[in-house]
Amino acid sequence: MKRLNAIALLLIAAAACDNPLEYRSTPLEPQLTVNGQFSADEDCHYLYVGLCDDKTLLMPPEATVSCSVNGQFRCNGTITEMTDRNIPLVYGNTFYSPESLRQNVYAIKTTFNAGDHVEITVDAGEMAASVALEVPQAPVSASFDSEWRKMAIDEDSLPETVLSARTTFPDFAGTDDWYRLDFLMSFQGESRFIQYYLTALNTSDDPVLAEGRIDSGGGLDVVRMMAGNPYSIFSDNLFGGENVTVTANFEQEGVQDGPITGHFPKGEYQRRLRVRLHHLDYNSFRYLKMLALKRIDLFSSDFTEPVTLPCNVKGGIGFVSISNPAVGYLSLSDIYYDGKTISEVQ
Amino acid sequence: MKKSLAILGTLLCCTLVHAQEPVVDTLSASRVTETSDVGIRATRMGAMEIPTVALRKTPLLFGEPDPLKVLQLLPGVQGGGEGTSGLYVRGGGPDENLLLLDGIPIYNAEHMLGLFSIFQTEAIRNVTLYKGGFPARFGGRISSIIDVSTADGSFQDYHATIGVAALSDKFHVDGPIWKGHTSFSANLRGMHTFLFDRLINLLGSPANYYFFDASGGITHKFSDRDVLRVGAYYGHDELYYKDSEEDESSYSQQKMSILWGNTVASLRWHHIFENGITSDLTLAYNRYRLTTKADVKSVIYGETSSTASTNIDYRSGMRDWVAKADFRYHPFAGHEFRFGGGYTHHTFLPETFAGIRLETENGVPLIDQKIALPEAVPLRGHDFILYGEDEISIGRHLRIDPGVSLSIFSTGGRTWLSPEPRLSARYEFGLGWAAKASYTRMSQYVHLLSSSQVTLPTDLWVPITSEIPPETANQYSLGGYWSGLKGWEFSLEAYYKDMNNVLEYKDGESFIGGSASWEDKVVTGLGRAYGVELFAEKTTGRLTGWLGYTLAWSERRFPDGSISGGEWFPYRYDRRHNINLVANYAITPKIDISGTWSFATGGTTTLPERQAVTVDPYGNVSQTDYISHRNNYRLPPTHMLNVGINFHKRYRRSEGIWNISIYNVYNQMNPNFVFRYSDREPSGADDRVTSLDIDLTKITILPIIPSFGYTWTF
Repeated sequence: MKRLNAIALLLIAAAACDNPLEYRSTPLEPQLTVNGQFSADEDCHYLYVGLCDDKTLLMPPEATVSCSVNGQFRCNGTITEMTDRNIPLVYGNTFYSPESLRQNVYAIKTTFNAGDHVEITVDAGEMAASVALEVPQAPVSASFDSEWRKMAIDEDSLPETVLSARTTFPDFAGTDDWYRLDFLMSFQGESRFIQYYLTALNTSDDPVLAEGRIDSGGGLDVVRMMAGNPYSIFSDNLFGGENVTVTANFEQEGVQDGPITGHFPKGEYQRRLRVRLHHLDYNSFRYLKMLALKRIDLFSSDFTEPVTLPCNVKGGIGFVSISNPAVGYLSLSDIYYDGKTISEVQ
Repeated sequence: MKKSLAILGTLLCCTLVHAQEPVVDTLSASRVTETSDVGIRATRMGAMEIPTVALRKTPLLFGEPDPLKVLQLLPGVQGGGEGTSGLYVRGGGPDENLLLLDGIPIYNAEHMLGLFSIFQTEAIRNVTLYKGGFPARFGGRISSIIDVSTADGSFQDYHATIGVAALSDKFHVDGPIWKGHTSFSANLRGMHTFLFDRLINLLGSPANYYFFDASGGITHKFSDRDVLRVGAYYGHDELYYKDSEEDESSYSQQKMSILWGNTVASLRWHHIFENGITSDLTLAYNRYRLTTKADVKSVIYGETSSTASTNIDYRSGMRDWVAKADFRYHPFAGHEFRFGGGYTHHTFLPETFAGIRLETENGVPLIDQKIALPEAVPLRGHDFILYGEDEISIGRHLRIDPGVSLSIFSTGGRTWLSPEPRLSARYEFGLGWAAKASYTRMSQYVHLLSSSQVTLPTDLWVPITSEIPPETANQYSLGGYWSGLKGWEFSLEAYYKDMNNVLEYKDGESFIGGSASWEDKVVTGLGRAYGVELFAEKTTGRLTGWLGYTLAWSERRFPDGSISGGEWFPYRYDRRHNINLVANYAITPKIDISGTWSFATGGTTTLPERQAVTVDPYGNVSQTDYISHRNNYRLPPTHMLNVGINFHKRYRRSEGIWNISIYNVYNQMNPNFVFRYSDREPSGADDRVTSLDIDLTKITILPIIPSFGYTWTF
């Protein structure tokens, strides 16, 4: 019996192994990628057009991009260098060259209004793609307020800047709605104009506030730590159609605006915060949620469920959205120290 | 890991069994008994019974008969991983099967990641599977009921079974304590370390594993009308790891162990009243426990000596107290009424975690830190059921089984009430033709938080909450049956099952992290499963066996759009075609051969479809994997042939049987696990654009496995 066992053991040891499995027998045909995040309060919108296959991004063909609104032709998109884009700085968002990212960027210079039916078409010869969008209503009666910039003492007895920006708005009653907040800080000096988004993407060595979180007023836990919610998106399923106040708190170690002061040698600049409360459709909300999940995916797909991306591009892959914001501008006073602790300030 | 898994496949069985069961010459998956719910002549649909003899008549893996693996050969039932005991019934998930051991729910019925089930064949009387047409007396899961009943000991004679195998040893004994009045039965099975330890050591692995089961019962007949039975089961698995290193300047040691298992105890009183009503009153206790312990120490010698140690203790589990009463009444011939009720008190014990970190330098404590999760609050659930079911004959041709069950589940200050109507009907046309139809509604109040690939001992059962409603399913079945050919039975059943509040992890969520905030990780949605099942069985003669074919679909949809944009997508175990051929042939009275051949469409997994671009509101552009929907990739089909041969030698008062089985005869490399390896290479002027290469690798841990055995029956 032992001999039989030994023979069988040898047989099995020789047979047990891993084997490759065919993933895809034939490569996929290239397909257009079309992406963009439009905001109805802006008059220039950027559409990113690329080409992809199953392995990589390819150099995109030149295409004709046209935009029609409510069935009427509105304008063509004009191809532009990415470095020409007049978009605010976000840490980590270097101005890539088209060659490195393999994206052609088309500027669509027009305005959109709530309720507009927008169609974007991309014609690249043998390939074509289109997107149909509807501009949502902007939040009504939104008001913006700040209780910002107090010097506070953190747990390590170090001074810290705290900025609180409050956004109050009546929720759309009886409907499911989705929102996004963005905060644009600008510094206007004699010779320079610097602006950047306040997000959690940034680190303390950049002139952008390092940490932030959003808490709702009234004790509603609307949005968790901003590190897990870099786009400050939230749904209204907790609001019940009532007035809502969302308070965003941002913290930064240190007492000054950091390296930003180096850009204004005379120390004279005007500081302003733009707060936008965007009303999104569900798919736009989901798209941003999926992007956030991709950013914080710490584990391999062996341990997490996969992240699926919505696609609203017919004939291609990608996602184009239009949000409609209510906008508020807050002038910010100088920093002062009131001796309170972080918890007292918040 | 792969190496450790592979050694499981290198263990073959050489079984010496000394058993008492008589050898029966038929291999039947749908044996009809006098009061049975199962079989072609019963009213119920989708019910099948596996007698213990059928377990021995199919080829064995590791020489160990396993009722759950035989169930996998029936139409409508799939196994999870290759060679494991997991069950996926009519498009349902692994936690949607109610596994009953003498009527008591079992929460983890697997040893060795499912290669063995906890059921020891010598202790089993029969196994009944319900995959549709559920009797009203059963509830609590939406996909299937697997009712395993154990045998009483003999009231007249003593019997014993001793089995020795490469992986496990078995011992069974039963007989009278008081002849004609009191009997006992006892079963022990344990994984011995004789060969396993040597193989582990040979491979240089510091890990090891063992399990054992102990079960038994005492039955006492007070009279012909009163029988009392006390039964118990205890199972224990332990996976442990111990390693140490030492040199002139340091010493380190790591010890870790994971212990888990079930404990079941039951008391049943069977009574027959004067008016013919029979009753079964049952009290039972069931516990599943998991403990993980880790102890890591390190010492650095020298002028400045330092020590560091970490102790971790993690526990979880659940506990049930069960009380139920079942009554059966025959008011007149052709009419049987069952009614009863029960109460189960669930206590779900979420994770408790405690740890101590101690660091010293020259004997002076530097860190003495206690780590603990917030004190876990046990979750309690109160589960009530009331039921009534009838079996009525109307005329010569029509029989109907109406029933209704009312289940009430209370937890977290909220109570859920679910009336569950059940109806089965059978019409006999004559000449062996019959038709059946059934409708059942089922509810489920507990969920298993589980990984996606295999059932692990660390998986956690949790109750529904005020936020997560119970799962419900409506199943509609229709079938045609023919038994007009002597020794043959044919059936064709079609079913449609719609499911509500099925659970899935959201995109990007992980089962890692246990039960903490699990409600935030999952989403409830809809499911639908439908298909047809063909079953052709030969029940008599030298050749017996069956052919089963299943054509099935199983899909999920989450209308809130949190998974796959709210569109229907295939369930993980959606497999379109499933064929099982089981045969046993008596070549001569002394030699019989058996074989099974199985084919199944591959399961699904999720893989990137393309490379694509994302643009965020701040203008960040990124290359990304594009996945349009979950389970978008179909794995290749699996198939395998298993054969066995028995040589019988009859002695004056006993019989000896040599058995040789070969599992996976043609060494088909069916995947037990599929891993994805991604490799990104720069694809442009800088490394922002990359080229992705994906390699898929399947791990096969159960290639061709021969096993040898000897059975001595007397």
